[in-house]
Amino acid sequence: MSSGAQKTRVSVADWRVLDGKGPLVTSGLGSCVAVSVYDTDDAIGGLLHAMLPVAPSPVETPAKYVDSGLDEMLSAMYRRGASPDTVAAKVVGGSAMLDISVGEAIGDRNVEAAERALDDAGVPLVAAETGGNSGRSVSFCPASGDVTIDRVDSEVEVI
Amino acid sequence: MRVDLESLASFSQTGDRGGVRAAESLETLTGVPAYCDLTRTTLVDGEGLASFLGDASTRIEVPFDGALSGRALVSYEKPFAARIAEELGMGSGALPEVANILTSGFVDVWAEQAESTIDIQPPRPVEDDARVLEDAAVEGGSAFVFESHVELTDGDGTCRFAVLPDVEPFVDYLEAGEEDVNFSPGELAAYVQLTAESASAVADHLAAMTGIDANGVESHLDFVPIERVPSLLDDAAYEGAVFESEGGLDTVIAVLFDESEQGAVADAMLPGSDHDPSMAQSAVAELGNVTASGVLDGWANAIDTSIDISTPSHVHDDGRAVLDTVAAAYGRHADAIAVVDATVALDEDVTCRVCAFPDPQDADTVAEIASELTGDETVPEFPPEDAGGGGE
Repeated sequence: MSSGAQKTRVSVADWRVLDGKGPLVTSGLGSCVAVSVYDTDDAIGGLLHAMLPVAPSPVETPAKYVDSGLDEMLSAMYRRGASPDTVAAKVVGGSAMLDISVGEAIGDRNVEAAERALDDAGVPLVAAETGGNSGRSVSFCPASGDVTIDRVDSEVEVI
Repeated sequence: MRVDLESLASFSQTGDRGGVRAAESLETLTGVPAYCDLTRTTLVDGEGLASFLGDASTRIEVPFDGALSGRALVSYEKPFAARIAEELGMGSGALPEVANILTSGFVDVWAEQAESTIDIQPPRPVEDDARVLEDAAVEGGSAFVFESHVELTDGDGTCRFAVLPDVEPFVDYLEAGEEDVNFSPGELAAYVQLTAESASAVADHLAAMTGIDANGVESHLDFVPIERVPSLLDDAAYEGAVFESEGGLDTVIAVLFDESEQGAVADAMLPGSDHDPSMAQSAVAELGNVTASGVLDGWANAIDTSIDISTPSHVHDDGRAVLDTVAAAYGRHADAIAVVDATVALDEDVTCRVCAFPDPQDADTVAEIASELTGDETVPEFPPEDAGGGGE
């Protein structure tokens, strides 16, 4: 078995929850959003990489959507011992890289959906780095809550 | 009856589950977290099969038969092979075992939907790639490949895992699960021809614009679950342009250049000049425009219609982020999508990747284009009564 702070990859339309170890990473965020939620008291954190704002009903793949993906991830965090009273969230992504009519403004709608879903779940949004027209990669440390954002042609940013 | 792109795209979900199951099997065997990065179901011609083997030094073949027959080819990059050998403490003897586990995990998903079992044969090292390709399951000039990239979370290197089912039993298997669908070798070959013509158009237009003849052309038709679309590219920086077409066919088409050094494309376009960044950006957009138009003109001419192209969105970004945006754009309407995927190597410094994403609701139009490009009016057919089930 491996030890140490190994990276855990989060694919598109996926979420992962870790307790203490880390980081959780996801790459290639265009109009998708990455929602990081963490409980600083228990070092439990989860990262969701969602493609679309609102799930249909019934939903087959909840992690594809911001609202149902967040619901699932928060439930998993609370089962692991995170407290609804001490969690906080950061949101990254939702860019508008391409001027195409299909799926228009999907990035903005994903960000709005994340803000709304977090509000509905009572999770405070403490930082966000969204919009613009460039892609992002994210590395999230559940223990500290730090979200490191990497872009082509830009300085690394931590929120 | 016709080749049903939507059915094939849907079936890519099964291939995806197989790839994920293979990675889970590896994780169980080694105790090291593993994941499946890329999964796609690909239709390719016999010559194009070689590109799915990669240049890994160690390759293991695992034949299988029963409800489905064919072979899996597991190609290990050196760092991946070294890590596996270390974890299992079996030296290079671990690699056939891992190939066996991956194949078993993958075909289990197929077997769950088959009427009888699928039996795995003992793994054997591949000594001769050419022999493997000669034996590969090519029927009527085309073959199916289920490709997965399995990686270890904290390790370097990739294991390329390609499953090549024998075409005839595989087509029977597909048809057993779908009513009113017929996948004839001739119809499948028409789609292979469509991708080859598209890649050829890319190469021709790039040569006309840069004066550089292509030294390598690959093409295939990929079927991928929509959330896997970004993994068609790596996370390196690509420069290029993305267009949207409408009219005879709605498509998003990305023309992306993988440069060894930033500015290499502009250098190819404007040799000898000391171009500023905006000039370089215009040159790339123009090259993308000519290339995308070349592909779409070929399609439009085939069905005697016009396809209009939008102004380009210039990108210099992580390739996966570009395709992430395309995937999200289609994601509301489709669970899986067909991608005309062409790669043209201009020289050592510049490779052009063209990914065209026809709107899944225009699958019949794509079939018509494929039919016309083969010059065979009998395949695929388009019974008028099918039109009622085509729209969504």
